[in-house]
Amino acid sequence: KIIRPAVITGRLSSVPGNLS
Amino acid sequence: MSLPVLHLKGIIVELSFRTGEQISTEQYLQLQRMCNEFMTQNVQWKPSRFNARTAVDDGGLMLFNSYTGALAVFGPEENQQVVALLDARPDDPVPESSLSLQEQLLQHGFLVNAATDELKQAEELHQSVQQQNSMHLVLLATEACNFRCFYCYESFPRATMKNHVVSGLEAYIQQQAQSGKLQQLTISWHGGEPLLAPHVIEQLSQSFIRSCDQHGVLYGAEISTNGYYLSRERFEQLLDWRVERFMVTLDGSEEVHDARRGLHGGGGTFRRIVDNLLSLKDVQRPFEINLRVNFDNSNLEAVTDFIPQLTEWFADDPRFKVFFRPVGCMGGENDLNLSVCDDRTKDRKIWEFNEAAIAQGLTVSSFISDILLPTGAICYAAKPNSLIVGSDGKLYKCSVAIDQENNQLGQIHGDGSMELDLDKMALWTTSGEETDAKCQACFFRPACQGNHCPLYRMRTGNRPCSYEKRQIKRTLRTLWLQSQSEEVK
Repeated sequence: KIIRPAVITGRLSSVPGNLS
Repeated sequence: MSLPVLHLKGIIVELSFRTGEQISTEQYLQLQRMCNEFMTQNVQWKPSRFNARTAVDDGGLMLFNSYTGALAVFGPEENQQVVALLDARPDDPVPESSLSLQEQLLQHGFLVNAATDELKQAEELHQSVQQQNSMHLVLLATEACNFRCFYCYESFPRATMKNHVVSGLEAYIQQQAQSGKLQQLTISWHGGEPLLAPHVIEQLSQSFIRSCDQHGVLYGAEISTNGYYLSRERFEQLLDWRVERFMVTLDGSEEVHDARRGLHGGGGTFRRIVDNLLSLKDVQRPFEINLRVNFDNSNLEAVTDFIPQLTEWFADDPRFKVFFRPVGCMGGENDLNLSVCDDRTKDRKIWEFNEAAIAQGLTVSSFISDILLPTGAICYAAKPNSLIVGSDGKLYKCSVAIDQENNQLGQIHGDGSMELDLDKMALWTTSGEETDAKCQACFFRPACQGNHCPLYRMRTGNRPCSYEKRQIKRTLRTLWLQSQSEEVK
């Protein structure tokens, strides 16, 4: 089953850890 | 490979790269399929270096390729054949019974021609990020906020976007659209709380839509809002202004949420946000609302207990999706008091929450699969065609480090002209895989290019791997569970 076939641009999708 | 096939392959490669902007994705994929049909019979192949795989509960196998973005599930009866094809040596004969599977693996990029230079392909993908035919602007409609969330890193020094900035943005986009070079414009409405300044969103949206429609530019927008002013009337206006994706945060039950995300000056916010969200279920139009849940050590149990409540409210409407993220110390005034989870707890809980949500009938955010697209995990701060515009017209790359000197790139003026420090721009756009051999060799390279978060790399010196990449097997399992859940529904 192909969930997404083979196939870009937003902001909503985060910093991956603590910065301080 | 026989000469005629080599010749055909050469033509196809030339077509897709030299005239890439003129052929549609459909045409491109059709050419690729034709190419694969010939290749299946005539060439040696190898597994792509950009594959990731995980076993799933029914004995099947989930495959992901970060260069093509393909996601595929194989049943238990196909599992062994697929593994054999992926682990075979290039000159191993392929059993007749595996030929159709092999063709599928080629079509979606899990197998590639043994002569393919995949690192070169990754470099070419990196070059495509430099193209200037699409633009992404993060606009701070206001930098004020009516909330005072205890983990927030913002300091709210400026209020509503100035008139000269609004007119400057209108002129700038009109000029860009008119130039004929711009094909796509994406706007992220942000703040502060952007819905404190709906008149700014209205004026700019209408102007952008007019300019884009007039010149054939594809336009779309998204918004991050605390949800307090997201009434049904306001929501439908935003849909009219082509805002398609929303993010609203709920951190647990009323008591838990209100203690973390209260009003400026005191007062709860949960009840009003939930009432607003529930009223939107009656809107008969397409949209996506991501319900973000921020967690730390102090609300881990509360989040687990909150999932059934979210299920009761939103499981019957897949336009509402859930998105779990750990709280981090980002330089906010309350950083020393935050009970942030350690890295192992963060990595474990994100996927535990997602799996619990799916098991109870909720839909997980499309952000997860978006991050797995080619270039999908690159931060906007690392893209040359992306800028943040502050309410006073200041230009930034990163929305988390507004006060950082090398993040203040210039200014937009009332006539649409911009002053932009290109040396500072380069600090953000060239700090990824270019100088990191581990990133260059990573299976996730086409998705993030070592640039998921340039700020994190600058501040800590560590690789900014995304949560999805760090736990790729759990990520793939989540997407598999989601696809199983959709089948049942």
